[in-house]
Amino acid sequence: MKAAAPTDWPGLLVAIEGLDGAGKTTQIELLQRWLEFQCYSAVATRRRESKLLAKSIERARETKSLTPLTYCLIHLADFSERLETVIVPSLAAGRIVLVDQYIYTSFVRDGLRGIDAAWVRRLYSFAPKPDAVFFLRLTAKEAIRRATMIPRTPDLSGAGLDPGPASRSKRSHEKYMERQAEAYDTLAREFDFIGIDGQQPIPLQQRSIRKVLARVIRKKYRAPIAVTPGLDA
Amino acid sequence: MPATPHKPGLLIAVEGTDGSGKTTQAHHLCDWLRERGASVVFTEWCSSKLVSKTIKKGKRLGLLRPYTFSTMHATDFAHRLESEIRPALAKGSIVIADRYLYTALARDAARGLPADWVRSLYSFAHPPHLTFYFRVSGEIALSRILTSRQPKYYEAGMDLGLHEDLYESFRRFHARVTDAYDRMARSDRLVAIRADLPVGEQRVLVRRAVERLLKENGFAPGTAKGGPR
Repeated sequence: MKAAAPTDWPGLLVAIEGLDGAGKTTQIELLQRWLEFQCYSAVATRRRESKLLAKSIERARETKSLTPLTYCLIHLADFSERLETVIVPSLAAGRIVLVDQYIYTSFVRDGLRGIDAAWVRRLYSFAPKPDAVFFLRLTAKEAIRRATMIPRTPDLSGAGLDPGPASRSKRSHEKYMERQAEAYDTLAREFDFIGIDGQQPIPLQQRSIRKVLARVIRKKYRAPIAVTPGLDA
Repeated sequence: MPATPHKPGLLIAVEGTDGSGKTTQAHHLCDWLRERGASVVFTEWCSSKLVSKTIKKGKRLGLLRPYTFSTMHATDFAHRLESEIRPALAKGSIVIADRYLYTALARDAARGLPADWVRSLYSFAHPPHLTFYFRVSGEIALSRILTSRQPKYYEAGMDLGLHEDLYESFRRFHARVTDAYDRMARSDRLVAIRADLPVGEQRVLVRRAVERLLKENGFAPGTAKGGPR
């Protein structure tokens, strides 16, 4: 499997990036409903959701047995598994794949753990380029505020706070989130992320994303799609 | 990703396909070095606490596609390198690795992954001081495996759809892996041992090369003790 140009597949690859708490998962759920309502087949996948590796990662995080190197590699393996068993087969079948945190999140997190940035990019070079990358932009402060407001399940295999490379102390976590936000901003410029204001109300964010995605869909499938269903009330 | 050199201990790896007899030789070597008073640590491929069980499960269920297969093994290897191999070397021990990164390079190449990508993936690992490559024909490897069991699905490269027949698939996959090993034997200076030779003869060849290595690295002659000067 070579790194394929997006147009090589009959499907569409859409990624959403942003800090924990930015609302990625919410937006993806809404997008999936919107697409399916209009007869498009959509599938969602997110970090640490692989069949085989999610549990290994969860266990390793509980026992704190990951170093920066093994953190990097085990997430690469999680990504590889999802790419080969979910993402690529779905794209080949013509489905729209919504990815909650794509390779860019690995670039950010591995980078902050001191792993060589060029090496990480090389590792992920087999990943197909998305047709669109949305970036839910949020300040570190606001992300932390949300994370402390919304009770999270302790299930580390799914969505949740990345405790960061070092301690969980409040100050160090703030700093870690700030550095993440900066790293995402840099990637946003380099990879032409489509910026969405994460402070806006959820329906407005959804509308902005749908507008862009509808254009991509119309072009790709030469088929109609309406932006407003569920939003026009 | 720059690799950390191994010191002050010594790292010796045995490589080769399944059925090449490398594990037998690795055990002989461990025993021999221990008899001579050396502190020896033996480490096996796919044995990390972190993911080895997950890999085995994935193999059992036939869920591993080439990149998944590759990256899971890299994770397992990195964990053992950091938690077992490097600490043992730091203490001056002799580490015998039953398979090292060449196994990954050979298998992943046989699975069609770009060689330079796999090289880059494993760039965190420094090469061993000495690597033996036990070279054996597909027929002999297969007949050795068949004395106790059937070849396994991934061992026979069945995931690649090379052939419907398990044995034929094994032969074809073995040929691909051997090609990759042969290329590395030249580029990475692996010490090739004809694995169709009697076990005793192979043992002599292994010991001779290890003796030389110990001497070159200042391990006291006859005892394998003392560590570097």
